[in-house]
Amino acid sequence: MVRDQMLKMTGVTKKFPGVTALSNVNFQLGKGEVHALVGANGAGKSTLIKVLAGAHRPEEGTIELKGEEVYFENPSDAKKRGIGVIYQEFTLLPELDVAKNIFYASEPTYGAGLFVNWKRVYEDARKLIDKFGLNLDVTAKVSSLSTAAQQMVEIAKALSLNAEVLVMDEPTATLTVHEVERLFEIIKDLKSRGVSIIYISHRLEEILEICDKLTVLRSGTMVGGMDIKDATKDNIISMMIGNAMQKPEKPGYYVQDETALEIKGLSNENVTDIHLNVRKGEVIGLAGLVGAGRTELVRALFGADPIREGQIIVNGKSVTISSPRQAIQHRIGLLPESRKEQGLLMNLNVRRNTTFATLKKFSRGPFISKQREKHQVKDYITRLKIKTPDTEFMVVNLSGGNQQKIVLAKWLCNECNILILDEPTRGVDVPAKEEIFQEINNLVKSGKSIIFISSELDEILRVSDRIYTMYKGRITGELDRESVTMNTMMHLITGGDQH
Amino acid sequence: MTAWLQLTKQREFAAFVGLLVLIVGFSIASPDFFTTYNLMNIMRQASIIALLAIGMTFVIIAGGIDLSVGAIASISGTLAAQVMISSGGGVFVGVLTGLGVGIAVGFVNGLIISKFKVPPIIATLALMSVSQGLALAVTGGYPVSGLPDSFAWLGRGFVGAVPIPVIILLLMYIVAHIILNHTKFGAYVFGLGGNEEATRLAGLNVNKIKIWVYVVSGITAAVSGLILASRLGSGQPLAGQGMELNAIAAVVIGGASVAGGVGGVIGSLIGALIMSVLNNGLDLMNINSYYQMIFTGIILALAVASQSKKRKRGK
Repeated sequence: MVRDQMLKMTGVTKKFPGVTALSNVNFQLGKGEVHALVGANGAGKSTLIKVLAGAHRPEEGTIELKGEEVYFENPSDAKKRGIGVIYQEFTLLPELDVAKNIFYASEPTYGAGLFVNWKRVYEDARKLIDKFGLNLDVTAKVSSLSTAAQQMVEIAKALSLNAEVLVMDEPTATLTVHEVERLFEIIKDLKSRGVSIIYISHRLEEILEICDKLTVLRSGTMVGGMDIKDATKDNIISMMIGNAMQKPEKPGYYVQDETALEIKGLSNENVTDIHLNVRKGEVIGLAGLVGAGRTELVRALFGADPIREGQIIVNGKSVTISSPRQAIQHRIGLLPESRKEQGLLMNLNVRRNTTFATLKKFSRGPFISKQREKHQVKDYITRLKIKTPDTEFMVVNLSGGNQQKIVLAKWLCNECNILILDEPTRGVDVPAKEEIFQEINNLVKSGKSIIFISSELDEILRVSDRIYTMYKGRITGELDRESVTMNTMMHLITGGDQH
Repeated sequence: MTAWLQLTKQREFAAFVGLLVLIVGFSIASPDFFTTYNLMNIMRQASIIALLAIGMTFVIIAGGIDLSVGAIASISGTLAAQVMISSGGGVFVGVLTGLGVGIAVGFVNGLIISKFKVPPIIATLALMSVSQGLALAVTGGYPVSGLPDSFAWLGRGFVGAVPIPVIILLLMYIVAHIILNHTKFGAYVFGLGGNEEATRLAGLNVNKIKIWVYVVSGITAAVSGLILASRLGSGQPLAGQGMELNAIAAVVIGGASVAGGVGGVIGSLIGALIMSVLNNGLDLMNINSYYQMIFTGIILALAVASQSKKRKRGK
């Protein structure tokens, strides 16, 4: 079927200091088409969307809307021209009702723009919702709605601005199966009304179900596009990962027979029936997409989130962990996903950030010995090659890689037997990454165990002795270092079967 | 030279320079200002607010706020007086009662805030009302007077030229400074205000730290209330009314951030002295106290504006 052209992006190049995020990318979208944008993390999907939404200005390239060339100075330009983006993080005001949210900042007015015409806000909202079959109560408070319904409010908001191109960034990541079906019905309906949709997802079976076309990005370049009828999971995955993927060498093997940690049937709000075990001297990789439940699993294990049922066994003994404090007593440590929000004390210096969780070691009675702190922290600065002028430097002024090393040092200081590293390499430069990998190797060499989470599959392949894959809150596979391939991993984390 | 540079980088430096400017200015404007007697007078006047500001510093660094300190000072002073006079408990038991009341109210503040997740501004507003109401109810609204002479010494006595309240003040500031900067508890107070989630994930009992912070504030408020009662010669149920706001102003002028994680007691002492010097100096120049309030407000706004700007540039 040949469709009228809605959007054409030609030769788009976007550079950031040190990296080319997009290089000469072409992208075409027909009217009433649902077009999937696929690629591994860092492939350039978000950057391309931000260019389209007016949030980034490209160095080169043109954007044509319905045959007319357009320039977006800022996101509000793009909105005015009918580009609606629904981000993973919603932008709604939870305390206001549905209608007020839909028309927020674009309320119909009267009296020379002085007064809001509330009657029309509700009427127009109702009309819009009926027209697109969204099934929402316009007077319901947004905070009382399910995630799926909130997403519909976002969609309605975009449509109220006459969006003709709707970008959905991982729209199903937080939806239940039933809600996904509902969303797909809405997408089909929007499509029949001539709305074009760019659909970003890692879940390949969804893409095969709902999309008409597909474009694959890899490392900032477009590696191909095709009609969905020609696509299979296998050819999409091989386009995403390319063929150059070699299993990287792991520097050493130190796994002992003894089990350090076992989890049996752990469930809570976010994860279901988790079974896994970790041996001494072993690096366990947890692979999965954003929202697969990896972070939720390790937070539950660390006592940061409540556990509904299940058993945690440390060194052969069943233990109760209901707070981080108890986890630490059982020698479990967690380097959290977000170092700024959960790991670092930005108001304090390198020394105190490193020693904060273990001040007892540096104190006599209530008094801290600054000398002892300094002595220890200097050791870590050398060992982890932390680039800081001295121990008294404020962490806020350090680079991302060095900040991450400080959080790592904090946990090394705690002498954990089981250290969980949640995305330790995110936002970290290459040399610092290598040093973090080196430290992981040192730790397992000395008999410690590591649980390693990363969205970069090649990193997981590189450091792990064994890998568990997760999808929608469940463990979907357990892979040995010898037998694992990028391909099987990609299948398991996108909801496919093990090959 | 580097030592001097280090000093200028201190957070309290701006407030310190401000204080010096005020002192120099008033010394030129009025011959009566820079005399031992007057300077001691300023210190004594500052002592009530400065004591409240100690606890307030802990609370603000921990990311909270304590609106109940003025009312705690009132109820501690009146109940202590009540015990000393009508219940015949003597000065020692009276003082212990006053301190106990401060600890109790602080503990309840901390409990409501940590265990029941009530925002500090609301929890301490509630306790302000309760404490103030209790102080009035117990006394029927009348001052409790006729305090023993041995108690009067606390607020009015001197050692040489130095008033007793000033000695107590300095001792408490030294202890508070050591606690805040050289103990684990102090480190956790900074950690809590800087990043509560990181503090929790470091395995610390966040609720316990919070409760202790408000207990500290209750204690310093009680000491303040006792000195106030001693100076006034009676336990007055409304003696501390409104003082919580001056205490907050002192802490903030001293360089603490109401967002938490930043501050220090030395800054707070300087903040309290700035307000006291301003009032005293303007008094000596025969400027009506109504104008003093205007000046205090302007200085508060300027101090915080300059610090916010500096912090932004720092990043």
